Amino acid sequence: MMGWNRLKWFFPMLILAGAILVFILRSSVNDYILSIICFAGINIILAVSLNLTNGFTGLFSLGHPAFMAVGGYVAAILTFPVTRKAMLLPALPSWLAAQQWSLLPALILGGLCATLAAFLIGFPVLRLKGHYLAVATLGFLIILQVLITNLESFTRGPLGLNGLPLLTNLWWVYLWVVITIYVCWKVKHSSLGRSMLAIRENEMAAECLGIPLSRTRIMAFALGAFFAGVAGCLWAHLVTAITPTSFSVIMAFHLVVMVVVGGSGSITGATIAALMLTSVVEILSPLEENLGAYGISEIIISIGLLLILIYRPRGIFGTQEPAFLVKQRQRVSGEVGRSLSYQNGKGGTS
Amino acid sequence: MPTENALLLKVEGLGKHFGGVRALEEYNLTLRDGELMGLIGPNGAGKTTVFNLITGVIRPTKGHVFFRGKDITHSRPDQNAALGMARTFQNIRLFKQLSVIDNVKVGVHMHHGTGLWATALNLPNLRRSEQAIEERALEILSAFGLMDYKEELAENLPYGDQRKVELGRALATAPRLLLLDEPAAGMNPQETGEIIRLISRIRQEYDLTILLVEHNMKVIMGACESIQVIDRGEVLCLGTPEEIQHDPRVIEAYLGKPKGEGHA
Ligand SMILES: Nc1ncnc2c1ncn2[C@@H]1O[C@H](COP(=O)(O)OP(=O)(O)OP(=O)(O)O)[C@@H](O)[C@H]1O
Ligand SMILES: [Mg+2]
Repeated sequence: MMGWNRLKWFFPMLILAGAILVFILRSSVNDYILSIICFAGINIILAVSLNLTNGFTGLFSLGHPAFMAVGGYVAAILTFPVTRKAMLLPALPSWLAAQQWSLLPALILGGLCATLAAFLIGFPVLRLKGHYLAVATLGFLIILQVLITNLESFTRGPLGLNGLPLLTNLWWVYLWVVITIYVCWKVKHSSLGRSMLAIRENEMAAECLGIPLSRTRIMAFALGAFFAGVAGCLWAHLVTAITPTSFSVIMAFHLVVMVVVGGSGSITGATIAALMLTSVVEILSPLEENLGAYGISEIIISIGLLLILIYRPRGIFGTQEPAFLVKQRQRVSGEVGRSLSYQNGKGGTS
Repeated sequence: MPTENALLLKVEGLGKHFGGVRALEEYNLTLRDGELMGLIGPNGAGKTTVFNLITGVIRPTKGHVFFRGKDITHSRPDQNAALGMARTFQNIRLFKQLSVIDNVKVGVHMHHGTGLWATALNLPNLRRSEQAIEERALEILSAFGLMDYKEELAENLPYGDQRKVELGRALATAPRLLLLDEPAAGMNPQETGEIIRLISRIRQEYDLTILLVEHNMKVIMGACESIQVIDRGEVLCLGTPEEIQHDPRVIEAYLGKPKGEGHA
């Protein structure tokens, strides 16, 4: 079991290094750049969690922004100062109007509501495959936007909620980046994650080996939705405003690009792709404004996607993680491989 | 013949129509514990359809399937797997992008895997379950002589070894009943011999009941105590290899009408 030692220290050290970096950044960089770094972190949360469905389980979902919207609105209504609520949302039920939560509980409840939404739409929708599922989840996103627009007493309709408290900072984003990556990493390198990958690779074979298809799919979908909900809350409290169109089809496209470019199933890949895509958008957006050439970043992202699809169809990392992060695990395998007998033969079933 | 053994699988009046195609009609089968039965028939006879119906991959148009005393006619494949049923596929269905050991580990998931909470929160039983799964997978890999390929992606293996991985993966579920759909298809004579030996070895070691579909007559005649022949979705006959070989209906259906001669 010696092989575990290096990794045992590697990840805490990495987390610590990240924390130091956050500390340094917060005391040296201006607010504008800090907010861009926060967006990058939120994109990491989104890309890595979308990887659970689109990457691990092979479900092509475009519904991630919908779950962000659920989480974002729930949290926004909860954290909104009571006085502003009285002004902007006079029709709110009084028990809700009296709430003024702090960020963490609002994040968690927002995430849980997104999970609930994923369960509700997951059962009918996850029977579909490939582009049918993509269309169905896209439909869900649009239905949700309409719903939000019409639920005026809770959401102020198309005007959205503005003047939210600026609660999101780099520490909160960093915390959730770490939690998201940790949980997804654990899932991927466990039996549960392997059964998700098995479903992606060959549904029929997976099912015949005892993997319950719909339960496993829903689990991946709902877990991904939880993190999307959290990311939605972080986003809303960073932008300090939220409208029905905040979480758009374009965003769904960007997130899918991150998963595809990083490599379907690779957590490292999704993280790096999220950083790359955020940088491209942020570097190009002042350029777009100066030159008046709006849409350049979309074009560049699309061309980048095409090039990746042509020259590296499995993305930067494929399904793999970089060798230095997982090598030790494999050595452990060799050490255990001594017993040749098959003691617990049929004991499992009878 | 171990006729006194307990009944393991009983199929009654099974029928399957695909639109207008009558793939299977009034199909019956009885398998007792420890039996190794061959299932043969010309192309398109309905052999794979029988497997798909028994495992629950497709639903029958009529009839019933009983496994270990339970009516599993409408069960899902994963439920049947949990009851102790495993299979391989005519056209290999490996998890191509997963390593060989991970392919086998998926077979063990059902017995030792942990749920979402234990996994996400890294509860202590996660570590134990991963160890149990790893040990079991390694046992199977070494029993199958696949240790050298352990970390290789399944798709990179030679064809014959891919068949072995698929067999090992099925065994990882600790089945009572193993359904093998042409395990020697596309193999050279040497590999075929190897797979026959492997099948009879695992049958002894793991106390399996096996239903074997195979086009290679040497394999079927050599390995099975009893053989069922189907043609165009209907059972022609059931008997020992001797009886089957000399049954005129079988010779006509299976070997083609013009030649009435015997065969290997
Ligand atoms: N999903 C399906 N849809 C329509 N027809 C099907 C389907 N599956 C099988 N069939 C038809 O059912 C019949 C039996 O097919 P099956 O695959 O069971 O034959 P088989 O005995 O396994 O043949 P082979 O030796 O070629 O593997 C064939 O006529 C086939 O075309
Ligand atoms: Mg067949």
